[in-house]
Amino acid sequence: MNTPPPTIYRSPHRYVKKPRSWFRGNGGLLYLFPLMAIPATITAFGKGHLAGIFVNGGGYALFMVAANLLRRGLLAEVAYDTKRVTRAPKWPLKTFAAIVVAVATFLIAWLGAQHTLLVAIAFGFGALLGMYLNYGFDPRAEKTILGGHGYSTDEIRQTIDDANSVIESIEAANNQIRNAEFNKRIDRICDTARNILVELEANPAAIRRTRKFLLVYLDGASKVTAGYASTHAQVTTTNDLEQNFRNVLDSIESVFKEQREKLLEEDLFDLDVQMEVLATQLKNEGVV
Amino acid sequence: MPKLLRKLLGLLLLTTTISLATCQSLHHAINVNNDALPPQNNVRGLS
Repeated sequence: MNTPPPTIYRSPHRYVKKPRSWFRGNGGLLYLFPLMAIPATITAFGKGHLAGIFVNGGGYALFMVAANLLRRGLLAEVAYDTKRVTRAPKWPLKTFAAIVVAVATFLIAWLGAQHTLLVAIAFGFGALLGMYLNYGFDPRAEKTILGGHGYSTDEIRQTIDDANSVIESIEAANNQIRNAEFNKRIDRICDTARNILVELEANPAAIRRTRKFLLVYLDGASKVTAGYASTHAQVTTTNDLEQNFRNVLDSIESVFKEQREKLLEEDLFDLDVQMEVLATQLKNEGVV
Repeated sequence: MPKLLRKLLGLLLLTTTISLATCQSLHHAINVNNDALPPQNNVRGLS
């Protein structure tokens, strides 16, 4: 007889609406402005005017490239704005988009509309200025933090990104576990770990202490969960194995909570002692 | 300069330059002489 799979518990995540001003724009207008280049290209085809085909068709293609660059640049800017510690976007995509728009406008005004060179340059410059005023250029400043205790922005960013990917791997392993109690506990552990990362972003001075926790214990929790998930999938688990896993989860959960509290209290000595206790326990349970 | 005003000015400039350039290019494409097509035969000469 087939039994229905047990309900898997998932803790809800709080929805936080991102503030977004209504006139910020997403670069969609740049797809609309040059639409007239399409009938111009078709007309040039109809008239057999080769230069018109190249100028209008090529100009439209350039506008589409610029619109694409602009969209990617705006997305990179949103990602930059949401992070507290980060580097500037790798490529100045919005600036590239503005330059491409200026060149395309200049070419269409000069070769397509047959304006004089100076007037065409004025068209190109106007488009460049319009792009700057409307969308701005790319952020180039690195968002650094004071009191990083010798760690660079890249190292802090890398640590947080790595920890986030470990948390995601724990959640992925959790998806394979068909045990509502364990699902709930692991979700709580992941939530606590994410809270620690949020606090770390807010207070990067704690990076020195937190790195040990993130590198050793979060990784340990990931290995334990993945190990249990694979064993659980292959063979019928025994009560002993479940009890061991329950004990380990208990320890991890309590140490994660301790870690968060100690981070707030900045009680370094006590935290180290707690970590040693957990390390010994994980070794005794044979999971690390 | 207030941000909204800056945006509006930028939008105006972009609309003016890009749309005007492409519309004028369309106008020029419509009015261009048909140089590429061969001249029509003089049918009177054939009769």
